[in-house]
Amino acid sequence: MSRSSEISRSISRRKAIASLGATAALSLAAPYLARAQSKPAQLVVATGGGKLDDAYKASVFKVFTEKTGIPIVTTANPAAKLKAMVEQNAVEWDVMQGPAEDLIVHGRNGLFEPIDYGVVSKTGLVDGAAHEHFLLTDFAAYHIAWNTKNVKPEAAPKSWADVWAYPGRIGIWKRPFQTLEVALLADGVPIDKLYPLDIERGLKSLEKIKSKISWWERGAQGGQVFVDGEVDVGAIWNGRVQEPKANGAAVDFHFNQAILVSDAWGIPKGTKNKSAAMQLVALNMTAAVQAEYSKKIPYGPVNLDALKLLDAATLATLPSSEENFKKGRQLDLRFWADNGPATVDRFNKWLLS
Amino acid sequence: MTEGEIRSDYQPWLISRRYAWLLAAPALFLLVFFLWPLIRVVVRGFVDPSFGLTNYRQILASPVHLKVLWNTVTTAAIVTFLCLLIAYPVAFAMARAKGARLQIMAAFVIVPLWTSVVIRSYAWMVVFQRRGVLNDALSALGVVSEPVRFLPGAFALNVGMVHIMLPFMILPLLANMRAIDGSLLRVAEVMGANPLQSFLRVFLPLSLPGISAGGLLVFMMSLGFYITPALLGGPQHMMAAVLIEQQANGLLNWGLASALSTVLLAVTIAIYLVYVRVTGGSRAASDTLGGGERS
Repeated sequence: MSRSSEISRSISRRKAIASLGATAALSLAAPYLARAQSKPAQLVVATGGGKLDDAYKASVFKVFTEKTGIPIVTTANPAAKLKAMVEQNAVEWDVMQGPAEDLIVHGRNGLFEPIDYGVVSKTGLVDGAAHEHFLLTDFAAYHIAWNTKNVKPEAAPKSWADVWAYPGRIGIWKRPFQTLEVALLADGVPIDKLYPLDIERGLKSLEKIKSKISWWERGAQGGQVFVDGEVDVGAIWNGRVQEPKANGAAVDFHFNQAILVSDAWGIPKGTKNKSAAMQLVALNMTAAVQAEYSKKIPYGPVNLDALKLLDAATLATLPSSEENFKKGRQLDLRFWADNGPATVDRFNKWLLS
Repeated sequence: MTEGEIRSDYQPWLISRRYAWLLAAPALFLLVFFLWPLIRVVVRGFVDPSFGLTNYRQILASPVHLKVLWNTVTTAAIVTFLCLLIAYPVAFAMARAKGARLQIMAAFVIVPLWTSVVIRSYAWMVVFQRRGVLNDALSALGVVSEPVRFLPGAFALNVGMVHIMLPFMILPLLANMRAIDGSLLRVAEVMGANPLQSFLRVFLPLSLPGISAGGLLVFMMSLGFYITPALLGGPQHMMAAVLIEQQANGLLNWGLASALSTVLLAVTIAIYLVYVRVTGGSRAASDTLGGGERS
C-alpha cells in the first residue's frame, strides 16, 4: 500500500471516529435529556440470562413497556460489577436479578436502594418475600432427580436418605448452599428443624458418600449429567430437568424434601431511574405478571394469588403450588447471610481433604 | 523469503531504536488499562477491610488457601511437562516440513485456538463421560467391562489442559527450531556423530531457548486456569482462580481476593525472574517472540 493512500485512509478514519464520538456523546446524554421529561429512555435490568431472560421478556418486561413506553434492555449480572458500580458511583443497572441468598448480602452491604412499599404492594405475597432491600420473585426447587435408564422405577429414590443409599453415582452441586441442607436431611434431621444448620454433621453425612459423588459446578452442566446418565441419582434444580423430561429425556424428579430457593430483585443504589425501576419491581410482584412468568418457566410465583390464574398442569410443575409447597421447605436466607463466608471456607477445606 | 535473506539485513537493535516511539501508544494503553488496575488490586489486598496484613494472615492461617496454591503450581508444572513431551516432536517435524505439508500442520496447531476454552472443556466432558466416546470405544474393544470413571479426575483435567495449552508450546519451539542452522547437524555428522549423538549434543542444546520460552508461557498461563479445572477436575484439583472467583464474585470479599491474586502474581513473577537468571535476560524476551537465534 502506498504511503499517500495510507494517510488519506487515516484521515477518513479520524473523521469517522469523530462522528462516532459525537453519536456516542448524544446517546450518553440521552438518558439525561429523557429525564428532563421525567421518563427514562430505557431501563437496564441485569439478569442471569438464558431462559430466565426469555421468561422476563415475555411476561413483566412486555407488559411494562406496553404500559409506560419505556423499553427494557438486559445485561449480565455479576455481583462484582454491582459492587464496583456502586463504589465508583457509576451505576448502569436499574434493577438487578440474582439468587436471593446473594441479594440479602448485597443489601446488608449497602448496595441496594430500600424498597418503597408504598409503590410495591405486598398483597398476596408469601411470608418472607418482602425484605427491606429486595423482594423474592419466584421459587425454584433443589430436588431429588434420577436418570430413568440407569435407575429402575422401583429403585427410584423417595427421600434424600434413599439417594445417599443408592449404589451408584450421585450428582450434587459443588457448593455448600443447599447441598448441606440435603446432606442433613439424608442424615435424618427433620425438615422443620433444619436451621441453624449443623455444618459438621452435614459434612460427615457427605463424607459417607464422598467416593460416589460426581460433583457438578454449573447449572447447565448439572442438568446434562442427569439427562446423559453420567450420574444415576442426585440433586438438581427443577428448571434444568423439567423441560428435558417433558421432551422425553430419560430423567425424572419429584418435589419431596425439596429445598426451595428464590430469585430476587433489588434496585442498585444510585440508579438514575429509581422511580421507574420501583414501578417495574412493583409490576413484577402482581398476580397477573407472576402467573404469566410461571407459564414460561417452571418457577413458582411468590404472589399466591397468581396460583388461581394457572391451570392444574402448570401448577403440577411449580415448586410453590399449594401441593408441592408442603413437600419441601424454603432456604433460610438469614442463616446463609450470617454464615456464608465461614461455611464456604469450611466446605472447601473438606473438599480438599 | 528464505532464511538467508532474513539474516542478511536483520538488525533488531537498529529497528527497535528508530521506531521505539511506536510503542508509546500500546505502552500508554497498558499503563491505563492494565498496570493501574493491577496496582489497585495489589493495594486493595493491604487496605481492605483494614490497613495491614490481615488478608495475608488469613491466607497463611488457612490450610485451604495454601493447599489450593500448591495444587495450582503442581498442576501447571505437570501440564507444562506433558505439553513439552508432546510438542517437541511436533515442532521438530514442522521445522523440517515445507509448503502445503507445513501449512496443514500449522492449521492443526492454530485452528483449535479459535474455539473458546469453555467449549473445548465441555467437549472433553463429552469425550470422557460414562457413555462418552472414549468409554464406548473401550467397551467395544473389550478393554473394559464397566465404563471407566474419568470425570471428574486428574487424567481428564490433564488431557483437557494440555490440549488447550499445546499451541503455546509448539509455536515458540517451532520458531526456535526453524532458526537452528541445519549445517551444524551436517558438521556433527561429518565429525562422526551418529544421529542420536548429533541430536543430544547439538540440536537439543540449541533448542533449549525454545523449550524454556514455551515452558514459561505454558506454565504461567496454566497458573490462571479457571473453567477447565472446575469442569474436568475433581474437588481436590481446585485451583487458585476458582478460589479467587468465589471471594471476588460470590462473597464480594475483594480484600482477600486481591491478596490471593497478589500471591499468584508474585509466584508468577518469581518464576519469571528465575527464568531470566537462568537463560539470560535479553534472550528471554526475544525468544518468546521467536526471533532469538536469528540475530
